[in-house]
Amino acid sequence: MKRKLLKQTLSQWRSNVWLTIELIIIIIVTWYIVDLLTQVYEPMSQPRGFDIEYCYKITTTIEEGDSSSTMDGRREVLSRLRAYPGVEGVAISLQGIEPYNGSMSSGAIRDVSTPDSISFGYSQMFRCIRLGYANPDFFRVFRIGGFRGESPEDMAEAIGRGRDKMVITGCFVELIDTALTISDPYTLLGHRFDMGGFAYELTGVAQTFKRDDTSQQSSYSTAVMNFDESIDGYMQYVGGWSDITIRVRPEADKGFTDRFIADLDHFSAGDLRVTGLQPFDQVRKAREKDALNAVKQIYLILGFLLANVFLGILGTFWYRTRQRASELAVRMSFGASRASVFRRLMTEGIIVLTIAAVISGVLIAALLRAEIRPNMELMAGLDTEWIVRTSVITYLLLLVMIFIGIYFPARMAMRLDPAIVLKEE
Amino acid sequence: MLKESIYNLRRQPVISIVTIAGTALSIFLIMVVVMMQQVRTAPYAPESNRDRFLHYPYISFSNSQWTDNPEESNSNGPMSWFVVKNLFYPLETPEAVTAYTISTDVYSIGVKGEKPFAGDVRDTDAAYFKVFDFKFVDGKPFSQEDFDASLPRAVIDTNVAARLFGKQSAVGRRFEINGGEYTVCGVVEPVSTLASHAYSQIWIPATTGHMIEADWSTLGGMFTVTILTREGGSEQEVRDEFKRRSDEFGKTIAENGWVILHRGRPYTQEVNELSSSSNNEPDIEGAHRRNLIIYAILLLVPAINLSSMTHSRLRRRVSEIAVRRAFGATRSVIFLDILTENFLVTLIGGIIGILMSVVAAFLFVDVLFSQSYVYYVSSVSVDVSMLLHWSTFGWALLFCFFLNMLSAGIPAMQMARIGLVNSLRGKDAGK
Repeated sequence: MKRKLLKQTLSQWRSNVWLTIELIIIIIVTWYIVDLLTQVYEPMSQPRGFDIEYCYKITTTIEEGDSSSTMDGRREVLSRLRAYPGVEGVAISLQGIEPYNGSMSSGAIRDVSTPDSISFGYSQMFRCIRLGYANPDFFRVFRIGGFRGESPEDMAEAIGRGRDKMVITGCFVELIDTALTISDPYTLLGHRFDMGGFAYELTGVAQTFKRDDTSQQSSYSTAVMNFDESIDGYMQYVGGWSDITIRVRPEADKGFTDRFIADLDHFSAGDLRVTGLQPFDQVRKAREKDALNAVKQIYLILGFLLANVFLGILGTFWYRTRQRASELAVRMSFGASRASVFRRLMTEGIIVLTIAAVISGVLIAALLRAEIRPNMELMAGLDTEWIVRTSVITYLLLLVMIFIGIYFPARMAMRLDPAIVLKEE
Repeated sequence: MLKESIYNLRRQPVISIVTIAGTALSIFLIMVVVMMQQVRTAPYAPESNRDRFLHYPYISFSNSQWTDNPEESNSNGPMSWFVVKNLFYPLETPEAVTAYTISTDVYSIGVKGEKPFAGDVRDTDAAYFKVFDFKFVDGKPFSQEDFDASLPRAVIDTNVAARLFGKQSAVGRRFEINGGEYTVCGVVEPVSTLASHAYSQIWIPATTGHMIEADWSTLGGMFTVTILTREGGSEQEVRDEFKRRSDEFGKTIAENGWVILHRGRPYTQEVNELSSSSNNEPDIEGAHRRNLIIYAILLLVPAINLSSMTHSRLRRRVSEIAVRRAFGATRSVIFLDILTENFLVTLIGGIIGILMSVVAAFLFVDVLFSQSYVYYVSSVSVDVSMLLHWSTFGWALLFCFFLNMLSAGIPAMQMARIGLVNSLRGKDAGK
C-alpha cells in the first residue's frame, strides 16, 4: 500500500514539483528563523548573575541654583535612604553597568603590573569589556557573588578596601584564559590595571552578571571600579548620570512603595531631590519590550511562511481531490473506508514534505558549511544537538501546517458520494 | 474582459480564494515592510524636508594625550555647545542649521500650585522651527532674540496645552518646568515619536535649560545637529563648506590635542536612520542586502504558490485557448492576455493587501514601529499621512507587477505553447 502510494506520488511529480520547490524554500527560511528564535530565547534560560527581587530604582533630579556644599547634601540623601526602615542597601553605579540599563558602553583596560603591559580591550580582542564604577553596596543589592562562590558580602568587602580597588567578572578572566593563557583568574589578584591614567588594584573576581535577559552570558565581561562615596569627584555624578537602586528587606516589601512615596520629601537634601521609585521588575519589563518587539517581527515573517504553506497545500490538494474524484469514488465503491481515503491524502502530503525536507537538509548543510548564518555571533553555539533540535522543530511546524492544509480537501473527499461522482463520470 | 475574468474566478471558488488570499498576504507583508522603512525616511510633517536633511548626530573625537592613533582610542557621543557654536552655526551654504538635545528629557510640568505631570522636553534653538515644519495652531516659535536673551519661552503641543490650561488659550500663559517658570509662546499639533528629530511635547530655548552646560568633554555634550540644505541647492556644496570649516576648526582645537573623526558624517536621512551607535559607521550595504533578501522571500514564496494555482485555473481552459489559437491568435497574444487577465486578480489581492497593511499598522503600531532605547512620555503613534504616500502606491503597484510576472509567467508560457490537436481533442495537454 505504502509503496503504491509512493509510486502514485512520484507519478504525479509534475504537479508536486511546484509544491516541493516551495516547501524547500520555506523549510530553509523557517529553519533559519527557528535558529534565530532559539538564539533569542536560549540566553533567557542562562543565569542572570544578579537578583532584582525586592529591588527598587530610585529616580532623582538635581535642583538648579545653589551649589554650595552640595556634595555633602547628596551624601546626606544617601544616608537618609540607608536609614529608612526596611532598606537593606543603596547601590550606586556609573556608566551603565547596572542591569537593564541599556548602555552598550565599553572600553579597554591595561595590566600595568606585568612587564610587557598586556592590553585587554577591543584593539586586541573582538569582545569588548564593560567598564564602570559601583559602590560596595552594588554587590549586596544585586546579590552578585564571587566567581568561586564567594558571597556578595565578600565582593563588597573586596572592592571597598579603598578608592583604587577593582573587581572583574570571571567571564573577563575566561577571555584572558583563552587569549593569553592565564590559567587561573585569581592569579591576577593584586595586579594593577590602568584606566584613564589611574591605576586600580584587582581585589576580587566576581561571578558574571548579564546586561539583560536576552543577551548572551558569554559576551559580558565586566570590570567594576570602586565608587568611593567620600570623593566629591564621584559624588558630582550622583543624580544625573548615576543609577541608584535600593534593596528592601523581604518583610518590609509589602506596601513599601506607598510608604516611600508618602515620605518622599524626607529624603531630599542639598540640591538632590528624590522624585520617586520604580520596582525593578518594571525596569526589566521595559527593557525586554525592546528586545521582544524585534522578536515579534520575526514571528510575523514565520506566520507568513506558514500561512503560505497552508494556502499552497490547500490549493494543490483541493484541485487534486477534484481531479481524482472519480478515482476516489471507485476506491470507495470497492470498499475503501472514508478514513482510509483521508489517511491516503495525508500520507501523500507527508511524503512530499519529507522529500522536500531531505533536499532542504542537504542545502542547509551546504549553507552552514559555507558559514552562512544571518545575525548573531557567527557559528557560535552551533553543535549537532542544536542543528537536530532546530530541524525537528522546523519539520514539526511544517507538518502541522500540512495537516491543516490537507484537512479541508480530505474532508471533502471523504464526503464524496461514490454513486453521484460515478454517475457524473 | 473584466466580466470574463470575474466569471473565470467564480467558476473555481476555492482556487480563486486561495489565489487572492496568497496575493493579499504577500502584498500585505511587503507593504508592512515598505511602511516600516517609509516612516523612517519618507517626508511627513514636521519632518517634511527629510530629503534636504543632513544630520550630524554624534561627534567622534580623540586627544593626542590618550593615544597616537585616534582610531584606536576615541570618544563618541552627542556634541558640546562649543562645537555647535564654532563649527556648525557659522555654516553659510545651508538654508538653516539647528542644534537640539539628542533625546528628550522627562521633566515635571505643571501650573504653579497644581499637581505636576511628566512631560518630554527638548532644548533647542530658533532655527529648529525653520528646519522642522511644525503645525502651529496658535502663537509662534520663540525667536532668535528670545534665544540670545535666554528668555524662558516654550512651545508646547496641544496635549500639554490642554492638560495645563484646559480649553483656554495657552499662548502668553505661564507654567513650570522642573520648578522654573516659562511662558507659552506657541502651541503646535502633537508630533509622532517616529519623527524622532522633531519629537517632543515641549520645546525650550537651549539657553534657558541646563543641557547647554552638561558637557562630558570639551567636544562632547548633549547636542546633535541637523542641517537643512537649500531647495534646489547642492548637498555637495554644503559638504564642501563643512569640510573647509571643520579643517579650520580642527586647527584651533588641535592646540589642545583634540582630533575630530568625522567618519561619514553628516549623514543623509536614510543613512542616519541606519546608524545605530555613535562609534560605528552604519552598514548601508548590509542593510540593502538584508532588505533585498526579505523582499525576495516575500515575493518568491507566494509566487511559487500562486504559480501552481494559476496553472490549475488555466488547465480548465485549455480547449478555450486552443480554439483561440485555431482562430489565429498568436502565442504572444495568448501569453499577454493571460498575464493581463491575471494582473486583475493580482490587483484585487494587492488592494486587499494594502488595506490589511494599513489596518495592521494601526493595530500593531507598538510592534511594527517600536523604537529601541528611547523613553518618551507619549506612546508611538502613526497617522495616514505618515503611512501612505504616492510612492507607497507606486511600490505596491510595482510589487504587484513583479508578483504577477513571477506567478503567471511560466503557466502563461506553457498555455501559449499547448498543442492544438491534443487540446481540441480534450486531452489534458497543459499537464
